[in-house]
Amino acid sequence: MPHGLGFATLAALLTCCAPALAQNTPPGDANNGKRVYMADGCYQCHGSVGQGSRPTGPHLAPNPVPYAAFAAQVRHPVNTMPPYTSVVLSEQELADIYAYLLSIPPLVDPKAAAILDH
Amino acid sequence: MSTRKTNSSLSRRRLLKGAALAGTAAVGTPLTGRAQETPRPAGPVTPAPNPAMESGRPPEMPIIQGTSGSDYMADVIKSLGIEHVACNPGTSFRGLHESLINYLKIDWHTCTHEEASVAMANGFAKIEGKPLLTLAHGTVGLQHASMALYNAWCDRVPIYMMVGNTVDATKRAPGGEWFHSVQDAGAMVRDFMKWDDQPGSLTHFGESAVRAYNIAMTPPMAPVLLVLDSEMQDGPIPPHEKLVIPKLPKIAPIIGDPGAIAEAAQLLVNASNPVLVADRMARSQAGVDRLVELANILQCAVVDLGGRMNFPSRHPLNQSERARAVVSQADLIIGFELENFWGATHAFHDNIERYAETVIRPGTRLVSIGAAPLYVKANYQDFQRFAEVDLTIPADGEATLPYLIEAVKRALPADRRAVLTTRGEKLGQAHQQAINALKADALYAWDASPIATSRLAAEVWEAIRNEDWSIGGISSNNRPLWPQRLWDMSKYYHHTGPAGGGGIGYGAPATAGAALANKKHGRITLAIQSDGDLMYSPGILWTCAHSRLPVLYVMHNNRAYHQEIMGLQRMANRRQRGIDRTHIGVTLDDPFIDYAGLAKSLGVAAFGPIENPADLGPALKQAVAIVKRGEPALVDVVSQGR
Repeated sequence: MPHGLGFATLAALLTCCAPALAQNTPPGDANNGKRVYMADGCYQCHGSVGQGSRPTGPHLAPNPVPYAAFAAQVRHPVNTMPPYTSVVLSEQELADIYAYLLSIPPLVDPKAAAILDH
Repeated sequence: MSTRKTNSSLSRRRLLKGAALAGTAAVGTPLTGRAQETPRPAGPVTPAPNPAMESGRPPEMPIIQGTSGSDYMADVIKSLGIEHVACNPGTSFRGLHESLINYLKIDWHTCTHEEASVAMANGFAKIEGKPLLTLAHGTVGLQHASMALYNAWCDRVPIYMMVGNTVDATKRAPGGEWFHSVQDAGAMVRDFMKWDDQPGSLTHFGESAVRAYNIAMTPPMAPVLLVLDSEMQDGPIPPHEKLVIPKLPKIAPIIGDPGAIAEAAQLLVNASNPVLVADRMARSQAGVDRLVELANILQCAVVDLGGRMNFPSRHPLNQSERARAVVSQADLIIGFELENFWGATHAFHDNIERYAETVIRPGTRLVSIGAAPLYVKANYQDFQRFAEVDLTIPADGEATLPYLIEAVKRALPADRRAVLTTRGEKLGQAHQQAINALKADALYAWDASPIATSRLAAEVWEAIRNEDWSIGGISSNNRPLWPQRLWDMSKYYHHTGPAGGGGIGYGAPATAGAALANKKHGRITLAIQSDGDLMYSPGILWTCAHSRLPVLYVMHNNRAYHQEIMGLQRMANRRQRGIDRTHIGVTLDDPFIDYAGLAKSLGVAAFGPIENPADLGPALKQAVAIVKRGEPALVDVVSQGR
């Protein structure tokens, strides 16, 4: 049985309210955000395009949660996600990561993954 | 003494070199030294130097033998139904080795490491339902094998192991044989062996060999060890030994107490939301079929924790995808061979202050049916945290199921069936919703490179779904276990669970062992093979090629010990040190390992590294064709971390 009872809760927090983008989203550099995302630990648990993985972390993209919720989770995570304080991740880097998540394209058409129906 | 002084160093070296063959025997022959000038009373006499010993083998020494102790050992091994050997060679069991290949002509599988040979035996036993024989040196070989034995101990798998040892110090050749001799070989692994012995005679061997097999195969199954004296193996059968082969009894597993079974059945019938949780339960198809029958009668939720393939993945009552939800709603949980009952009913949080919380409702009744309590040791902590269950039935889960089924049938009132049918329909709907959500999850990162683990699993399934297939070993941390979630699994051999003790280095050789067992059934054996796991014993690829094992290794090559990366990041972030250095010691890059090149060098057809997901399907198709011809193949897939 997966250990994280809170996984579903966390997933819901990060994806339920996906459609809305907060108006006060800070500007960010998606290219640098991808670099930081891959280098600074997001990739390890959430995958290279934010796809998530059941035992390690939920989906982040496409359609990330509003920036405020995203920043709150990174700085003061619920459950077992390690905290990324401003000591190790600057505000600009956080904004850049968010810009990268916004740049991730939508999911493929399920028809392109028809083998999943077998 | 003057003769000794005139001996050349060459003569002395010849003596020492020949000691293992004949010299030590000469020590035991009557010596013709100088007569004692002064008669002594009875007691030890120190012989005078014997010039004959310094000049080679005395002419009266035998050079051939008519019988061999190890031939008798081979006869006993044959009587146990053991058909295969997996081992790395060693001088301390050369006698038995020779008897097994020339006298018994047993099927032999050469391994390049003892850990691999025991893991291979582990994977074989989980499919075949009985052990093969694995051999090793009593010291260095057993040390190599010890982690694999621990995995088997934790996993309740019968391993039948023999190691060589030279008990009599006067019979040991100088040098290596002393390094390879030990007073008590079993002591090193006794904490995680069910039984061991060092027989003092061939008759003793016969009895202990049958006893050991009996003990290993009686649930809870576990490894056993026999330490074989090299002199007993190598030499002739002593004239006084009247050897017989002891009879192996039919071994009946322990069934639960009838009263306790009836109580559990009544609880099941009365419960509103009973949940059956199975872990290392089904060791044969009967186990799967019986659990299906029980679930169908009760129309209740089943959670398969994956220690074995216990319950069909696409059965509507399979609620493994929503395990926590059904466990938290249960009013009765019955665990079958569920050693970590506490873990199944609690959420554990790995924060700075580690804490846990129950996830079940107050008053939920817990019943445990399993063989683990029948044999427990103290030192290693594989028995997990104490679970406060209401009823424990110490018995073999698979064997007890028919009695529980009959008890449930007797206890179930006819007017309850409609309620159960409604419950089953709701569970079926929830199952379908969970499967739909799972497939939607698999769309994430579908076209990503490195290749997503979900895409990897989907492509492998597409390549083998029309074959008779079996997943061999699963590395303990090879999550998220997409195959168990995505694939249509219904046979006990579709997978046999991960390494019992979490010891890495199990997956690749256990898969080879499973392939050996599956071969005669024409099954394809495969592994989604972790890169870190393979590097513990990459030589197993050569064993697969040498033994013509039809096995497909699909590399889950995330170029890291990924679990450890995440653990280090957790520590670094807690301490606000950043994680720019947490790759140190946990990644497998600079240089990347060329697994296809490695496999080819060991005689295995290989493809990759594959980084474009579009290339994966065609490569798998080619690899499966090779495996269907009876040969091993490897596909290196550069994949996401998880």
